[in-house]
Amino acid sequence: MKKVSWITVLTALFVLAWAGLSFAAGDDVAKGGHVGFLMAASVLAAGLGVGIAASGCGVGMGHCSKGCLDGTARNPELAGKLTVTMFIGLALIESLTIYALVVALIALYANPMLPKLMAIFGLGG
Amino acid sequence: MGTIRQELALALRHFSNATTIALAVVLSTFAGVITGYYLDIKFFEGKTYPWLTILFFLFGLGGGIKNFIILTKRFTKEAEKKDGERKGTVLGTEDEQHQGDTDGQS
Amino acid sequence: MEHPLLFLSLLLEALGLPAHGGKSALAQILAPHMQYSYLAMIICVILAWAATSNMQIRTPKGLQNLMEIFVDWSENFIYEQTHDRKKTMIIFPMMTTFMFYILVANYMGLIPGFMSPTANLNVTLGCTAISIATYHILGVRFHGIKYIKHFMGPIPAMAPMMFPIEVFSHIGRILSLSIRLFGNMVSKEILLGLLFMLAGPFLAPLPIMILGCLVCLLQAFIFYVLSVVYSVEAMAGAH
Repeated sequence: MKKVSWITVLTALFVLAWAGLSFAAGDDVAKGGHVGFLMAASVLAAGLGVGIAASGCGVGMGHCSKGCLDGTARNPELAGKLTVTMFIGLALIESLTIYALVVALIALYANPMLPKLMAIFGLGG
Repeated sequence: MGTIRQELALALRHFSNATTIALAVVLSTFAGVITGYYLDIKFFEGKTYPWLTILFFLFGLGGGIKNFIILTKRFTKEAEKKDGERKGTVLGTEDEQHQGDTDGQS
Repeated sequence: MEHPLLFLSLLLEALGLPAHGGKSALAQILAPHMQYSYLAMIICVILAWAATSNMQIRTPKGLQNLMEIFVDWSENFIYEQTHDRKKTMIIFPMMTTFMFYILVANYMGLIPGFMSPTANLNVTLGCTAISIATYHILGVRFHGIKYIKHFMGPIPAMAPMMFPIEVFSHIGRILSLSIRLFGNMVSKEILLGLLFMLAGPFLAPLPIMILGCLVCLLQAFIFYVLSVVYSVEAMAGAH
């Protein structure tokens, strides 16, 4: 468990350092570099954000189904009501992932920061 | 216990209701935020920048909660109706109940 | 962007028409999703005509039998929701046509060289707009001017605050109805395309194809059920 978390932290640090390197490299090309960095950061944020959200929601959904199955095994007459409650809970948990997904899609396809940055550097928009 | 086709139809109904709840809550919130953002940026040209976005975000959030309440109520009502029908057929006589049990296991 | 291989587009291009989309009006009328949605409509009409052209009352055979099962199932399903023969006959033709069209349109994407028209947001938004307009019109017809009270919340003093909330909750439901159909269809197409390109054209896309068969039926069914339920709720008594 500890090893896994260390691997996660190291991977995250590596990714961040890599992003910083690309930022430093982009500094040379004064105008286009920041826009390119923003695009790269958007793609990175979209992927990482949806991944983290999905992992957390997966844990939550697992707990939810486990509770429903335990209750149904103990008292099979309640199966219908428990299933409905489980589905509502699953829908709420799933909505959190969809929030992350919509934010990721906005960051990828309709980034509101990109035109502002382009206007600052005089690249149209 | 109904036939396997009825069970499948019930599972599909539950699935469709659950995805509707998840999507409707999220999308009404984002509809509010995007409407507010466009009003701020395009209509008032950035003079009222954060405030209309926040206001319409709250409206959208309220709409999402309203959707959640309505859809949850409908979902539970529908499921209770189906459950009642199922119990009515299963708990008819002892013999039928036994029949239903073996049907469910196979 | 590279265009996928679409038979109808190639055919129209050979005739000298702008078949791959563009700015002019003719190019937009003949965009690929429009071509395939015309094709789906023609298939629907031809199937309905073929099923009803040679009807037999005693022993229905073949296509007529299949269509009778479908129509009968749909009518029973709507009657279970409304419990009223007159209300059923108001919405039954439109909803069944919706289900038929979306089913044909979804399954068309599984044939190589064709695309699903429902894998485009404009088509699904159009279908949803028709459905939503229908249920508001039905609500006004069955409740008169009192229908607007559904938007005002329980307390009259809170009406200015409740109105935008209700409007956004309706927008959320519209978007969820259209975006679910569109998202499932387009994700199926993108996944199939990726597997074709990455893993070879022979056996790798097969599991996704099988899943696609299920998803097509499921999404058409969900769209139909939700349209029926919204219409029935608008027609039902005040609450």
